[in-house]
Amino acid sequence: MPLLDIWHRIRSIFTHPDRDLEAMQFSLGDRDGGGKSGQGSSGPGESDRGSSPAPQKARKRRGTRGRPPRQGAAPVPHGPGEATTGAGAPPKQLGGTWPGQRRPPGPKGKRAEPIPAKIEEAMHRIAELFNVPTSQDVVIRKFAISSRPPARAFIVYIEGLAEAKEIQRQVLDPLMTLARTSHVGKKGLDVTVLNELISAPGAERKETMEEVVAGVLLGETALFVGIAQTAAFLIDVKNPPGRNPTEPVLERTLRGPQLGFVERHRVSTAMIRAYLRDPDLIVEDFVVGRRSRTLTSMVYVRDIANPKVVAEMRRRLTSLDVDVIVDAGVLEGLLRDHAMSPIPTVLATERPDRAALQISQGAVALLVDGSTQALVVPVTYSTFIHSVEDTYLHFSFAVFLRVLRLAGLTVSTLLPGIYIAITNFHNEMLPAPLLLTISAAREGLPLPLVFEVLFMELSFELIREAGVRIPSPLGPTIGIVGALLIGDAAVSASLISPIIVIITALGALANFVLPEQSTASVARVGRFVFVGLASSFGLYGIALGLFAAGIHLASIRSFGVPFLSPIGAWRPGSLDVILRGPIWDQEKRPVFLRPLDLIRQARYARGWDPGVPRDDDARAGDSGQ
Amino acid sequence: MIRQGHIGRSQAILLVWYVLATKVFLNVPSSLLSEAFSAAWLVTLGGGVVAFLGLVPAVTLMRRFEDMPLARVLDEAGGLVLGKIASLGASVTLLAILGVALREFGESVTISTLSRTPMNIIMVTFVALVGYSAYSGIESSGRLTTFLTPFLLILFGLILFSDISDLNLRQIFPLLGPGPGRLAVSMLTRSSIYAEVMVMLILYPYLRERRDALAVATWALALGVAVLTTTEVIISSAFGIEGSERLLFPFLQLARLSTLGRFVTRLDPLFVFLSFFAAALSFSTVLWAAVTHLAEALRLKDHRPLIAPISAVVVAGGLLPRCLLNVIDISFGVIYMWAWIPLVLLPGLFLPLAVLRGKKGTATAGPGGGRR
Repeated sequence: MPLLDIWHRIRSIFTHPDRDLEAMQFSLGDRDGGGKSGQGSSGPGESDRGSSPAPQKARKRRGTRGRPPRQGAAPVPHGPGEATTGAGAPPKQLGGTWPGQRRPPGPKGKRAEPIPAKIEEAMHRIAELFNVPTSQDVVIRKFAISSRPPARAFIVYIEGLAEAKEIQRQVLDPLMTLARTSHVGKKGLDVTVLNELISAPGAERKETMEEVVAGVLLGETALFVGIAQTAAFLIDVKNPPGRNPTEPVLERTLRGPQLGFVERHRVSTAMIRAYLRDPDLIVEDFVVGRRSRTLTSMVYVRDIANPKVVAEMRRRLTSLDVDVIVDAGVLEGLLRDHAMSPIPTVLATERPDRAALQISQGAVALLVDGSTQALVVPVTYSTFIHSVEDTYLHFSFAVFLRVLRLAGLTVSTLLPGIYIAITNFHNEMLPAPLLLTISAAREGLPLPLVFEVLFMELSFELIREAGVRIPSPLGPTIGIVGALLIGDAAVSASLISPIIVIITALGALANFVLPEQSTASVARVGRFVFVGLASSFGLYGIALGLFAAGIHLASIRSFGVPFLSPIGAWRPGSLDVILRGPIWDQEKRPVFLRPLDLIRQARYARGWDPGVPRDDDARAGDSGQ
Repeated sequence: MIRQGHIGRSQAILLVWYVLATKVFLNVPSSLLSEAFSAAWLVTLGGGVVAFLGLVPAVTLMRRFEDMPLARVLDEAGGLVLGKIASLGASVTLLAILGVALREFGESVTISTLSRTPMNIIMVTFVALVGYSAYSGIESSGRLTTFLTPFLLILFGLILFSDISDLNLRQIFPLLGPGPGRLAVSMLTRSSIYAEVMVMLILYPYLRERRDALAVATWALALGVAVLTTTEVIISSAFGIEGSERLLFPFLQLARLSTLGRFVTRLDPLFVFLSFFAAALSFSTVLWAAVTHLAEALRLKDHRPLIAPISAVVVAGGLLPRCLLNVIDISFGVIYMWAWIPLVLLPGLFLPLAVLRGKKGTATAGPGGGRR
C-alpha cells in the first residue's frame, strides 16, 4: 500500500530501528550465549590470563553453555599494511578473538599473517607495520639472549604506554644475564624464556602479527626470540598514562567513599572489584573502534544480571562500526535507546561505589579505557533522582532529599514558565497584594515579560558556561561579573524587574540540586521550551508540554525496561523508587530489572535484633505453621 | 493483528474510566439537568445499568473469538459486508464523539483561560498532542494514566471538597424529576453517554489478562457512573436546577467557586490542568481506538499512518458547527441520544449471528502473549 510505504520511509528518517516494539521488549531471545555468531566476545572465564581461582571457578560453573563462540577459530584476515591503520589483534585476555571488529576491506578468506620464520624478517616486518623510523615513539631494541648458544632477540614497545623500568627488570635483565645459568634442554629456548626467565606476571606466546601489533598498541611489550622458528611473546608491562584515583568531580557526597573512576582502565575495573569481591562478577572485554581500539569492559554479576540485557549489550557492542571512541560519552551515544530523545536512558557515573551498587542490583556497567565515567543500564526515571548517598543516610533523610530533588527538577524546569503564565494569563490566581507588588515592579520596564525572562536565563547560561571554561584563577571574576550583571546593573538600568532575578536564581539553584548532569541539562533546555509554551498559551501551554513530555517518557525504554518503571507495571518489591524503606527492609532487588536472583538479603536483615522475627520464624509463619 | 504491546488490568480500567468520565468537564452534566431536572443523577445511574446490559453480550462476543480484534470479530460473526459496515459505524461513532468533544473542550479552554486565542489553534495543538499520544501506542497511554491518576484525583477532590460549603442537597428532590415514564426513556437513551465503553472491545486483544475483560469493563463503567453521578449531585446542589441549566460548563463554575484560604484566591486555573490531562488521556484513547479499529478493518499492518489524516478530519469536523450551542445540539441531541443503538444493539445482533453461524475464535497468539 503506497500510503504505508511512504509512512514507513518517513518514519525511518526519524526513528531508530530499536524503537520497534519487538526490539524493545524483553523478547530478544536467549542470546546469552554470545550475541552475533562470529563476532562474539570472549566470555567470562575465557581469559588466557585466568589462572586465578575465580575465573576458573566461573568457567567451571558455566561449562560451555552460555559461552560466546570464540572467534579465534576463524581469525579475521588482515593485509600487511592494515595493522598500522587500525586493524589489529585483540587485547591479550581475549585469547585471540577480535570482538567488536568488523572485517576490514579486502579480499575475503585472506589468512592471518603468521610470525615470519627468520628474526630479521620479523624485525623488518614490525618496523614496516609500525612505520619505524617515521614513528619515533615506537622502540625496537635488539639484544642477544645469553643462552648457550646465544640467541638473537628484540623487543618492541611504545614509549609512554609501557613501563621501561619494568621491561628492564622483568624482561631484559633475566634474558641478558640469567639465561646463561638456565638449562635449555629438550623443552627449547622459547619454553624456557616463557616459563623460567620472564618474571612478568602476564606473558603469553602469540602466533600472528596482528595479535602482536594489537598487544603493543595496548601498551604491552612484544618479545621476538630468534630460534629455528621465530617465537613471539606479549609481556604485560603496561603503564598507560592517567591519574591516580581522585575525588569525583561531579558526584560529590558528604558521606561515603570519596573515590572516582580514573582514565586507567584496569584501575577502574579494580575499583568495582574492590566493592564486589564476588567471583561471579564478570569483566568482559571488548575492543571498540577501528582506529582507537578502545578497550571497553562490560561488568555484571553473572547470577544477578538479566541474561537478555547482557546479551543485548553484547550484541550492540559487537555490532558497532566506528573508527574512534575517546570517551564513554561517545559510546553512550552509540549504544543508547531512542537516539533522538534528549532523555538519558543510560546512567553515566564517575563513582565506583554507585556503579557497584547498580551492578549488585542487576544492572550492567560499561567501562571505557581513558574515560572517567562508567555507563550503567538499564535505568529508569528514578535512577536520575537517586544519589548514591541515599544509601548511606537514614532512610527518612534520604526520602526528604529525593523529594527535594524532585521539587528541584520541577522548579528548575517550570518556574519561569509558570511565572509567565500566571502573570500574563491567570493573574486572578494571585492574591491582590502580590499582584500589586509584581505590577509595581514591572512598571516602566521596556521589555515584555517573556523577553525579560529570556534575557536573564540566557545571561545566566552564558555565565555558567563561561564559569566552566574559564581558567581557575579567573573564576572569581565570573562571579563578580555575574553578580554585577544580574543583581545590579540590569535592574538599575530598568531592563528587568527584581522578581525576575529571584525567579532565575531559584531556577538555577534548583538545577544544582539534581545529582545527575544529564537530567540537569534536560531541565535547563526544557525550561526554555516551557517559557515558549507559557508565553504562547499560559497554563494550557504548560499542560501541553507536560503531557507531551509524559507521553514521551512513557514510551521510551532503556534496554527493554520501560523508563517509567515501576509505574504502570508495578509489582511488589522493596520500596526504593522515590520513597525508600530502611536498609534492613530492602529484601528484594528492583523487580523491573528482572534480575535472575531477586532476593538481595534476608527478609529481616537485622538478625541480632530481638524485636524482629528471625527468618526461620517468618518462614514458619508464612507457611501457616 | 497490529502489534502494540499489552496493558494491564488497572491500566485498562483507568483508560476506559477516563474515556467515560471526562465528559463531566464538558456540557453533558448541564444538558442532563435540563432534561431530567433533579433526577439527572438517576439518569446517569440508570443509564449505566443499561450500558452494562449492552456490555455483557459484547464482551461475551469478544471472548468467543478469544484474541481477535473487534474488526475481525465483526467480520467473522456477521459476514464480510455486515462486519465492515458495523466496523465503519463503530469507528465513525467514535470519531464523531471525539470531534464534538474536542470542540467542546476547545470552547471550555477559550472560556476559562485563552479568550483571545482562535479556536482552530487550540484544537490543532490539542489534536497534535492527542495524535502523538495515539502514535506512541496504548502502552504509553496506559503507563501515563497510572502515573497521572493520583494527581488528578487529588485535584478533582480538592475542587469538590472546597465547594462543600456551597452545597444544598435538597436540590436533588423531587427524586423522580420529570416523572417515571420520561425518566425511564431518558435512562435508555442517555445510556448513550457511556457509548465510549465500546473502546473496551477494541482494547480487548491488548489486555494482558483477557479473561478479566468483563471485570475491567464493569469496573470502568462503575467508576464512570460514580463520577458522573457524584458530579450531577454536586452541580445540582451547588447551583440549583435552573441555575445549572444555564451553565455551559458547570464543572468550570464549580472550580470558580473554589477558594483555598486567603492566599490563592481562585482555583479555576487548576481546572485547566485537571480537564486538560483528563481530556488528553480520554481523547488519545478514543483516537487510538478509532484508528486502530479502522486499520484492523482495512487489514492494515500499522495504525500509525492513519493518525494524521484522521486527526485532520476530526479537527475539521469539530470546527464545522458555528457556535457552541450548535455543538451542544449535535452532541446531546444526536450523538448522546442515539449512540446507545450501536452500544446495545450491535453486540445483541452479532452475538446471536455468531452463535447461529457457529463461528468461534482462532487461537492465534495475542499481542504480548496475553493469557486467556
